[in-house]
Amino acid sequence: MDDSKIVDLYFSRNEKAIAETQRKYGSKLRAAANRIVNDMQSAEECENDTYMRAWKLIPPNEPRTYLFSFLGKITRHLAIDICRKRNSEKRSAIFCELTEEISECIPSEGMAAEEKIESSELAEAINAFLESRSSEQQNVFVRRYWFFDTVPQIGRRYGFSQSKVKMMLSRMRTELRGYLERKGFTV
Amino acid sequence: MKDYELLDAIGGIDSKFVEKAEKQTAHFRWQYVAAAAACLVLIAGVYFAYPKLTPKTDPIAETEGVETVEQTVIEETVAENTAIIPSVEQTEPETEKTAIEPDPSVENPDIGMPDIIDIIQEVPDSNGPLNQEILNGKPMISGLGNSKPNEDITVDNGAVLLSASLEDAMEYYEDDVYYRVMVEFFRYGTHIIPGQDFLTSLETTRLGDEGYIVALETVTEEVDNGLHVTTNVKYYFTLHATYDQLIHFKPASDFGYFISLYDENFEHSNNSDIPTYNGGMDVG
Repeated sequence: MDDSKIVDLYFSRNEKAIAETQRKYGSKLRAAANRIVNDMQSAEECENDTYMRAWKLIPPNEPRTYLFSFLGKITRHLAIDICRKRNSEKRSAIFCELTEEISECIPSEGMAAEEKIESSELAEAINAFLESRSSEQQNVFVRRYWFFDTVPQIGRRYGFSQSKVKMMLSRMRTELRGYLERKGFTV
Repeated sequence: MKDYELLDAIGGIDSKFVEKAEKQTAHFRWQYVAAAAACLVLIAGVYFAYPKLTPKTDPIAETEGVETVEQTVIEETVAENTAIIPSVEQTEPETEKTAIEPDPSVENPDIGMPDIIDIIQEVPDSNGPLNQEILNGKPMISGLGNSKPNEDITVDNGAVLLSASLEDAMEYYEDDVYYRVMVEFFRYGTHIIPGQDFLTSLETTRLGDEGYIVALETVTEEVDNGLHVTTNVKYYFTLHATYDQLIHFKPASDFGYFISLYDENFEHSNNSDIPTYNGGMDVG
């Protein structure tokens, strides 16, 4: 069943919508969650919570053309929340690794720490940054920091060597940091 | 800004990036497949074309082709009225010899003449008669024993002139023998020294294509005039031909030809020791 028909089921409040969503995207969502939490039971909890959230969010949202990313965004948010609630010893290695990596992108000087940064503004800035990158760079960046893929997984997916993936990510972090600084996003 | 804020913000990026990253995988490398296919086609092409590119090693074709062998004939200077007995030294290049060496295991009745290397190797010792050269059951003559050196001759382009001795021999022996003859080329009435220009090379190639066996012979003549010895070097084209080949000799329009018996070109007497076919042999 295509995404639009699944969304129609949500709109008609047909519970079959969840079954169809699970059939089409269940394994992907579970795998995505598992990459972040590194725990299958928690990943299944994330998956089930995702269906519940989607049931509440559709409508008013109408993700006919981006259902997977819509669901994945929910799953990702839930999985990150689980990681944050855990104490530092129980957090998954990939989450810690990515948190450390992403901190390289944070501008170090400027605004006061207490100044609130709107997440949507930051997302827009990252969107603009990604628009200026090549398709390969966009994909690698998203697979790493959105899907939480490991470097070898990205390399296999796109046919790149691990060193190339690492190099691409390193350069993009540096460039993103410079880009955010120019846009006035500072700590 | 905290690291989790940035991580959350990345979670809010445009869905198109997420959808694209999810759908796209490694591009199938068509260029590698195309390159491999091209290599296979090339290899297959070379494999099948190779037999066509490689000259056939058919010994018959080699025998009938152009064969130019340089042979040095050293004439001993002797007193007047003393027989001149040519001794033959082969100086043909090694490659030539390899190229035209016949395969003794191959017998082909269509071969007009055996390989010249065999002929030269079979030249008997200086005291023996030349008629010991028996080729395909036939003797080969190179002189009549009473040949006279030819006077200065010129031949017009497109004309063939046979020496009187050769005509006599052909009239007498007809097809019962092979003929070893010398060919002198002329152009516009001027004698052409063999190897002087590439046209003679082309002509010998043509003669080879016609089925003659062509040899370039170098004759070194030492003349002692009493005070000192001078060496004269002369070059000749030798043809090994059948009766029919001589009768039906086809001249090129660019050359004139004077064809004579081999021994006509050497100063000699009627001494019976001269290695010529003297007609005394039963050639039947």
